[in-house]
Amino acid sequence: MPNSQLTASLTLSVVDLTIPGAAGLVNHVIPPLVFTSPGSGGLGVTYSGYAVLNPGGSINIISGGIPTTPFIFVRNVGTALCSLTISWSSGGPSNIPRLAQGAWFLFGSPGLDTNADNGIIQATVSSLNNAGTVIEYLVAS
Amino acid sequence: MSNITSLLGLTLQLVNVSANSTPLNIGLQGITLPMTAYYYDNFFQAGITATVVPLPGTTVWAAYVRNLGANNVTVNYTPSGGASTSVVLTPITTGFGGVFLYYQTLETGGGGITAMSITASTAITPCEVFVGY
Repeated sequence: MPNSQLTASLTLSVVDLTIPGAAGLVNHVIPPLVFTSPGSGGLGVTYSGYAVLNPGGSINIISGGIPTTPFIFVRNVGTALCSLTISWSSGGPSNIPRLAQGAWFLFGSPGLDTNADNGIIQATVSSLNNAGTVIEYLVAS
Repeated sequence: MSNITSLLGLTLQLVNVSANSTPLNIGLQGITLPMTAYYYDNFFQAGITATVVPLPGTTVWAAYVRNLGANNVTVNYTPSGGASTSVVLTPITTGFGGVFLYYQTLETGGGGITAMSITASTAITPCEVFVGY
């Protein structure tokens, strides 16, 4: 029996603001991303709701290498622009487009702890020398 | 001036099965991006050569790609002001395929994507694609 399970549920919609009460142009409930711990082992989840970066500093939010991390969620909850760099088992490091205030990045890959799942081996968030760089993040492996 | 808006919601829930408890439950709802145009294809056909995603503007501020097929797909994108880069989304194996989601809440302040294409590894592979401008 699995010990733990992480579910990420997403909804996406698009609304025409010029027609009050109109049905959404896009209404989509994205099938959930479900990560179940293997066997009776646990699921390692790291969450921080308010990680503050020093100006010019950085945080390695994933540095575990192999086995890889198949899920990451990062949100900029500060006021300053920040950058996110990710290395996947398929390659990298790759630059994610910069995250302004309120911006999100989410990546999920099915499978846990397998080298074929193209999970993440390293993820680093960096401040761009400005005060006010704060992130919320969650990773699961 | 924006005349449409996109709304994104995310719930992250961690369940301890053996203890029947929910140690983590995060709900982020009503996150919006005011826009003027978008492109959405719920069954985008990614070919074995790069298939360009038609961006509705010079810079898109929201991008979502999900692999719906049985093959790997490579999403190649260009961050605004940066070099082209890529990520591989694996096929559906445990109920879902690989997901890439980038979402700004304003069309100012830096960031964005200026080009995107998707390439399937071995055969035409469907993906769900949304990009907003």
